[in-house]
Amino acid sequence: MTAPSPSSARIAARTLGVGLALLVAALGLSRGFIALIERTTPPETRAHLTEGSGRLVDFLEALPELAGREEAVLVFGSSLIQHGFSPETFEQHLGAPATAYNLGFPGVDPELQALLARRVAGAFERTGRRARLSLVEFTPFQATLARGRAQAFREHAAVKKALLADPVLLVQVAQRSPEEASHLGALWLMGGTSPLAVTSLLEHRLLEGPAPSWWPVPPAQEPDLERKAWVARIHEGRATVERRQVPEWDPLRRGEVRWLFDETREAYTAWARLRSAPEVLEAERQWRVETSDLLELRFDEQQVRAFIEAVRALASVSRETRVVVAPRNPAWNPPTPEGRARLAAVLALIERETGAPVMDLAESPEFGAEDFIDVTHLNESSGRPKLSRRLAEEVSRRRGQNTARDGAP
Amino acid sequence: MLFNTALFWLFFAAFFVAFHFAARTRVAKLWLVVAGSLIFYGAWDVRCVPLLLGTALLDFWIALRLSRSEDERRRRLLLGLSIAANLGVLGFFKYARFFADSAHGLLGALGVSLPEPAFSLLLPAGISFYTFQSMSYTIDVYRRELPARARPEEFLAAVSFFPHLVAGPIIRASVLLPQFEQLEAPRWEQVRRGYLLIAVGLFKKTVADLLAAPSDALFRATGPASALEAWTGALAFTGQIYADFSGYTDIALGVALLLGFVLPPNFDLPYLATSPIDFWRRWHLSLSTWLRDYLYIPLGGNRGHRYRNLIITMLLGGLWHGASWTFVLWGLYHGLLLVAAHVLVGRFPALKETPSAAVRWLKRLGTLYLVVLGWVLFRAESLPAALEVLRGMHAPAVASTFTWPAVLTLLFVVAGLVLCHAASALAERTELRQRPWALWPVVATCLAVALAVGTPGHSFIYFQF
Repeated sequence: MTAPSPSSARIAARTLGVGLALLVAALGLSRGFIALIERTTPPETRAHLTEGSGRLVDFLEALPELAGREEAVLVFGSSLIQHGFSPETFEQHLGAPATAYNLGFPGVDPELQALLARRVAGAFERTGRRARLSLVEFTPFQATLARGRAQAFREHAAVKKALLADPVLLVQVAQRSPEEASHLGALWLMGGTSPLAVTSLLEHRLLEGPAPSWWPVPPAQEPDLERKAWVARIHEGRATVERRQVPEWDPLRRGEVRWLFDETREAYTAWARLRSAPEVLEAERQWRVETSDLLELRFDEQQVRAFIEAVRALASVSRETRVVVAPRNPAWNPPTPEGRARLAAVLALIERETGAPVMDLAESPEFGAEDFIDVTHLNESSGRPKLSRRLAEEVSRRRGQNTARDGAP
Repeated sequence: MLFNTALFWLFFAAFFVAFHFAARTRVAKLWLVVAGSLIFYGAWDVRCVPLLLGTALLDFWIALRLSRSEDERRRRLLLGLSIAANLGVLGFFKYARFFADSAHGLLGALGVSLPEPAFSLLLPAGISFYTFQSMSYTIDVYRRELPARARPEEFLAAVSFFPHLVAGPIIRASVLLPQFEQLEAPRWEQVRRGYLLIAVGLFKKTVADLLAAPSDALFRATGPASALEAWTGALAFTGQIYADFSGYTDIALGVALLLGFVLPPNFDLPYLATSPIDFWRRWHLSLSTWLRDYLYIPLGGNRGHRYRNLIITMLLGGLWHGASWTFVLWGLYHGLLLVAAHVLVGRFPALKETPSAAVRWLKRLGTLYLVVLGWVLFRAESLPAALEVLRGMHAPAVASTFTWPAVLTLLFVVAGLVLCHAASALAERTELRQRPWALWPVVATCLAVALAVGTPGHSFIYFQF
C-alpha cells in the first residue's frame, strides 16, 4: 500500500467530521439532560450534592462587580469560612468603613484556592482597585496527603478546577498529567457538572423520595429521618423570610449562607442538637481521620506551596493580607502532638514565605464545643458571630498597634 | 489510558489522523501502530513496555527459527522455549505471590512455621492477554498453520495493537497478521458499525458502573445479607461484569473498525444461553476458543479422558482470570457444570430439543441461575464470603425488608441486565446501520448517556486479569 487513495482519504475525513458532529450532538443532549435534572431539583439538595460548585459559579458571576467596590474585605477560605463567617457581624465590629465578603467554598483545597485567588486578583487588576484587606484561611486537613488521595474529594475538586481553568492552566496541568488535563477539559465542556453529581442527583430523585401510597411495606426507620425533617422546616422558614430564589453565593448577603432567622430558630436549634449528637460526631471524626488525616496532619508539600501562591496572589491586590487558622472543635478535633508540630512548622513556613502574619485561632479558648455544628464547622447561632467579631477585633487591634508603632517617636 | 477517558479519545483522534493522512506507506503505518500502541500501553506504567516488547520479540525470533528448521527435536525445543518464556513471565508477575502465599498457608497447616512472604510485584496491565496472543503465533508457526513473518513490524503491530492490547479480545496472530499485510482502508459501512459499537460500548460501561454500587454493597458488606440484598447484589454483579467486559470489547471492535481492522466478536448475548455448554459458546469467545484449540484439544479433546480434559481446561481458565482460589473454584464449578451438561445430554438427547418458547425460556432462566451462582464465587473476596452470599440467596439468616427503595434497586438491576443485552442486540442489527436517520440518533443518545452519567476513568474489571 502506498499513498492513501482519494476515496479512502475521503472516508477518513468524513469519519472525522461525523465523529465531531456526534460529539457535539451528544454534548448538547447531555447538557440539556443535566440542566433539566438541575432545574427540577431543590436548590439546597443541588448545593449539597454538587459540593458547592454552584456557589463557585454564582460567585464568578458576581466577581467583576465585587472587584469594583471600595474598601472590600475578602475573607477567603473553605467551608470553615463559608459556615463560620458573617460579613455583617464583621463590619459591625470593625470600627471602620468596609464591605466584607464571605469567599468560603466547600471542598476547596489550597490548589483550588490558588486558582481562585488568581481569578480574584485578575478581576481586581482589571478594575485597577485594591482590596482593603484579605484574610486567607488555611484549612489544615484540606492540605494533607490523605485528602489528595480520596477519590470523591478529587472529583469534586476537579469540577471546581474545571470551572476556574483557563487554557494556560490546562497546558500547565497537561505537562504534569495529561490525564488530569483532559479530564478537566471534558468537565469544562460539560459545563462544570460532574457525572458523579448527576448520578447523585438521579439517585436522590429515584431512591430517596417517598414510596407510593399503595406500597404496603413502611419505609425503614432511617436514622437521620428526624434530622431531614428539621432541615426541611428550616428551608420552609427560610423561603418565607427570603421570598426570592437565593443563589448559592448570594450577592445580597455578600456570600453568607443564612439558615438562622427568628422564623427558623426553633427548627435550627432542634436540627443542631441532632447534628451534634456524640454518635454522629464520632462517625464524622472517624471519616475525617480516614479521608483527611485530621489528627496527624501529614501535609502535602505541593498543597502547602499552592496555599503560599494563593496568599501571594491576593496580597498583590490587597493593601493588607493575613493568614487565618479557624478555631478547632476542642472536644472532637484535638491533633496529636506530632500533628500540632507539623501544623506549627507549616504555619511558620507560610508566614516566612508570604510575609503575611498568621492569626492562629485554632486553640482560642473562647471557642468551645458548643460553638460547633459538627467536628470542624462553627454553628450559625454562636460560633459564626463569635469568629466574625473576633476577626474584626483582631484586625482593629493590630491596625491600632501598627498605627501606634508608626506614630511612635 | 482507559477507553472511558477524554485522554484516550484525544489520543485516538491524533492517531486516526496520523494513520489515515500522515503515514503514507504500509511500513510507516505498521510502525505507527507499534509506536501508538506502546504510547497507549506506556501511559499505564512505562516500566511494563520492555516486558511487552521483550516477549513479543522473543516469539518473533523463535517463530523465525521454527520456520527455518526441519529438525523436529529442535522445533519442539524452540516451541517449549516460547511457551516457557510466556508462561514464565505470566507466572512470575501474576502468580508468584499467590503460590508463595498458598505454600506458606499449606506449610503453616502442616506445622512448619516460616516468615510470611513480604514481596509484591507490579502486575503489568493486559499481561494475560498479550502473552496468550503472542504464544498463539509460535504455536501456529510450529504447527505450520501460519508462515513466520520475516520483518518484526507486522508481528509487533498485531501483538501490541492497542484496541485489544489490555483487555482483549484475545486475537490470534492468524486473524490479525493477514489484515496488517493488506491494510485495507475502512469502508463506510464499517465506519457506521464502528461508531455504533463505540457508542453502545460506552453506554454499557456506564450501566456497568451504575450496577457496581449495589454489587459492592453486597460483596463489601461484613454482616449476613437478606435474600433480597443477596439477589440484588449477585444480579448486579452479573450485569456489571457482562456490561463492563462486553462494553470494553465493543469499544475495541469499534475503534479497530474505524482504522479498517475487523476483530472477531467476544460475546453473543450470553445470558440468553440455554445450557452451560451454550453459555461457553457465547461468553468470552476469544478465551474459550483459545483454550479449546491450544489446551483442550492438545490434552486429547473429546477423545479419551474427555471430562478430565474439560475439568483441567476450565480450572486453568479460572486461574487465568486471577491469582486467587476463588477463580480456581469458579473454573472448577464451570468445568463440573459442563461435565454434568454433557453427561445429561448424552443420557437424555431430548434435552437438546427446545419444543416451545416457554421451555426455551425455562432453560435460559435455569442456566442464568447457575451462571449467577458462579459469579458469586468469582466476585467474592474469599470462599467463606462467597458461601455467606450463597447462603443469603437461598437460606438467609436475615429476613428481607421489601421497602420501596430496596425493591426499586432490584428492579433497576434487572432493567440494567436487560438493557445491556438489548444494547448488544441493537449493535448487531444490520437494518439499523443501513438507516442513517435511525442510526445517528441512537449513537448520539448512547454517547450522551455516557457523557452525562458515566464515570470517566472508572476502571474495567478485566484490566486486573
